[in-house]
Amino acid sequence: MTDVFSKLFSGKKRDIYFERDMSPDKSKKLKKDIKENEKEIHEYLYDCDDVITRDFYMGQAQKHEMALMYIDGMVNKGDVQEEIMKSLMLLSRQTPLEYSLGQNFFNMVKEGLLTAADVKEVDNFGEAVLGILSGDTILFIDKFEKALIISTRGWEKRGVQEPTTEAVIRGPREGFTETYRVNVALIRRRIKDPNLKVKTVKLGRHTRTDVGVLFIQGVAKPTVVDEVLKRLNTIDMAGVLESGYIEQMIEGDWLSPFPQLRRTERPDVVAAGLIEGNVAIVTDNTPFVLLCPTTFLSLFQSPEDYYERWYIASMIRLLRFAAAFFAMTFPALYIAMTAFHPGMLPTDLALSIAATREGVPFSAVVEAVVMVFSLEVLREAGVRLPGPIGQTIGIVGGLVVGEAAVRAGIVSPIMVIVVAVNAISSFAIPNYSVAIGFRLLTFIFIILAAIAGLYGIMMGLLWLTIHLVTLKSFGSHYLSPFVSFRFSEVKDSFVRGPMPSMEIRPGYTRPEDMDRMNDRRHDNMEKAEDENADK
Amino acid sequence: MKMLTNNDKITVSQTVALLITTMLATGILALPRNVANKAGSDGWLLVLFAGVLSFFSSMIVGALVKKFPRDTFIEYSQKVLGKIPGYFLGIILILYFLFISAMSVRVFSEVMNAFMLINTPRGFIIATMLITSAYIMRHGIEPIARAGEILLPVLVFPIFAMYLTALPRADFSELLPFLDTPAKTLAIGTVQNAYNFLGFEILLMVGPYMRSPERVMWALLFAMGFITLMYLFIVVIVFASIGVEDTRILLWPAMSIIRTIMAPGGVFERLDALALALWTIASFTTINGMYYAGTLAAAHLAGVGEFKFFVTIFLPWVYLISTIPGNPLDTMRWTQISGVAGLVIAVIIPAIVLAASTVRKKGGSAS
Repeated sequence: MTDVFSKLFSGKKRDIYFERDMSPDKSKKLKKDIKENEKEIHEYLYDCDDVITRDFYMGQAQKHEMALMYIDGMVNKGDVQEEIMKSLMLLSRQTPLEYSLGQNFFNMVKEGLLTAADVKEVDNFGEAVLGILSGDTILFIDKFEKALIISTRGWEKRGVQEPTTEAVIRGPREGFTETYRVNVALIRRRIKDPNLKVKTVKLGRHTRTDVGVLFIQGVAKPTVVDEVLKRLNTIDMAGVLESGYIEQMIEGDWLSPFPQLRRTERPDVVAAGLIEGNVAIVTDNTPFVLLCPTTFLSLFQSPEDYYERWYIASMIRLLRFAAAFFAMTFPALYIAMTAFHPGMLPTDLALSIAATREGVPFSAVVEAVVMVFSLEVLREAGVRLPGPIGQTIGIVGGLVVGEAAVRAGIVSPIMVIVVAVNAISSFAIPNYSVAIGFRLLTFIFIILAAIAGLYGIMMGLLWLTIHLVTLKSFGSHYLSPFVSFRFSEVKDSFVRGPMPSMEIRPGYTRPEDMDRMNDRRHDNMEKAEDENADK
Repeated sequence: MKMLTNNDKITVSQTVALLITTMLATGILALPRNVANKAGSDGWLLVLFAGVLSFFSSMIVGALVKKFPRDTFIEYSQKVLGKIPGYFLGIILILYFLFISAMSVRVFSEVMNAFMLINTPRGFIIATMLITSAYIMRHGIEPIARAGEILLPVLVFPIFAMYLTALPRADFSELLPFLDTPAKTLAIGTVQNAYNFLGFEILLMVGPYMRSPERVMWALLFAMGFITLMYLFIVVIVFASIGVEDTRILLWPAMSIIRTIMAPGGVFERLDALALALWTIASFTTINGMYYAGTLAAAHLAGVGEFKFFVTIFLPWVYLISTIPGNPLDTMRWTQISGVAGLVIAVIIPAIVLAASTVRKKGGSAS
């Protein structure tokens, strides 16, 4: 079915690998004359009034002409002044300079004078302009056909804060920020392994967004890493502003209501994923990091599952699956039961439902659709409005309007309960994107139940099952480990087995190295027993 | 985006799941009546014997799969018997599979109409079911097997749980007298009820898609054993709950006792809607297995690799065949016919092909 839709909706086919660089050509080399270079750069950055140029001369004789260029607001001015200007203009005078250095003068500046930590050489305009736009400072030196890019990136940014969408009771409080390097560092801090690789690509014709692909070599399957990089390289968009753009561009089946990549704002989740053999995609300017391949089950997991003891974690997981089922089918089940199979309900309950529906002018289906719809509106309104008002809306909408509607006899009180349980269930799913997917399916199931009762719901569930078994995320079965069943993996599925028993990494990532842990406590204990016996 | 893992091969556990889900069908709802009519309180013995007999018969198909691990029935029947007889058998096989899927969907719609959707037109149920089947079949053998793997526990555990709730009311003295039936009646009844274990004949077509065909016998043993125990359990519970005499007069006794069960705690007054939801899955998987085997046979017979075309082509025909019986009793008669046809297809024809291949020394070593 997907191919039919793809044919309908996608435009002309494009080449997979092509470099679309909106910034100036890399083949255009820098010139010898500093004024010409400056002019050229100004031509590229024409009408960009935030570009600052600073000409100065170096040395006691003020012979060497130099120029700094950077964008105001994207550099750390203190760094520019302290590490570049001061070292070149003042500190350089303390060391007697050989003025006949000739070609070596450039290296002298780079290696002997600049006190900035991160300095790179460039010889073309493409990289120079990109450097300036990324927040670096470029240093031109007269009579050299190359320049220095000095990393002085520093702008106003949000600090590391507690993630708002994935709160935990136990676990680290750190969340990703909007800065790429900070995010990568947050991950690197958790995995101090030289095998943690970071490959950066730039995406978006205008935005030139840094997108990093992180994986642990020797754990993540190389074919998956290659596939991720290949799919990233197919992205040719005007702009990549959030990881959601990337997610939607590289997922396999965009007709599916389920996300095929997991997104998280928690560095500990990413670290855990990398250790399991996932590939992480870190995008600049967003705190949301993508993990792939992913499974249906992993979308129901919260990091706390692994931090809490396994009984609690298992119970909470089972609860979540029940919640997901209700989030999807509860109103539909109610409709099927009352409209098609009232005989299934205990007589007293059936009678009390009938009694509460007395005087309600609409059928249960209309009632359900109206209620679920208004609840969605309320939820959306609550998200849009600023914090305190959002809560007010929740109370006014949920309690006051609901109560009034029941009093007025427009909806039955049981329907209010049903819809409320349905909504609350959906909020128990840790992953917001999945929760929304389930809420979308609620409507479909209501319609199916209205057409054919429980049989309709069954058909819906069958279609869902078929869809899920055919769905793959980067070559992994979405329903793993339940397809290509392996009993050892059930330990970490609906339930979470005791930590010492999880000796292997999950199979869905097809990791290179299955060995996850070795419980040595028993070895030691046995050794101790042996020693005691010897005595 | 097809990459990394895309092979049309199924594992042994997937084969077992496929076999069990294909065999397990709405036929079970009528099974207690059939055996009660044949052998009274010894009826459950018939189930046991029929299971064992079916396992030994299915070994013939298993032997063929082992002997021709790369070919389907269509290819090796032509190799062994010659082009024209093989071709003829292939056509019979296609017709049989389509006929069985039509009957399965028809029986399912009858049960639905009788218990759950009394006013819903039969055509609607049949059509939705067939379209759903066609949807998964277009994705090929692997998703079908995977769906079987997923649906098997979803199907089996609730069924066991449901019948277990009937246990407190069960009176096992209903199973007495024991061994009161003459041996000849038992033998005839066994053969007559063996058709409930049909479904393994899909291996004639699915065999070469197994990743390790040498373990086909284990798959068969496991699937057959599982189904036999499950049927035995249900028949015993039905006999013990409502008595052999009542079982004889009910059209679908296994369904009727569910209607009398009240869920523990009084959450549901009757479990029949839940049971029918489960039979929906059971029928769905049966139709899948049979229909898929039919389209696969057609594709192999026509010598084209693309079977999706046949999925669509056959859809209206299966629908039409399913509307042939006039009423539920008529459907029952047709089911009996399809059972006989199934024994021929699943046992006699494979036996002939196997014998011929041994005599003519065709195929790999049948170890």
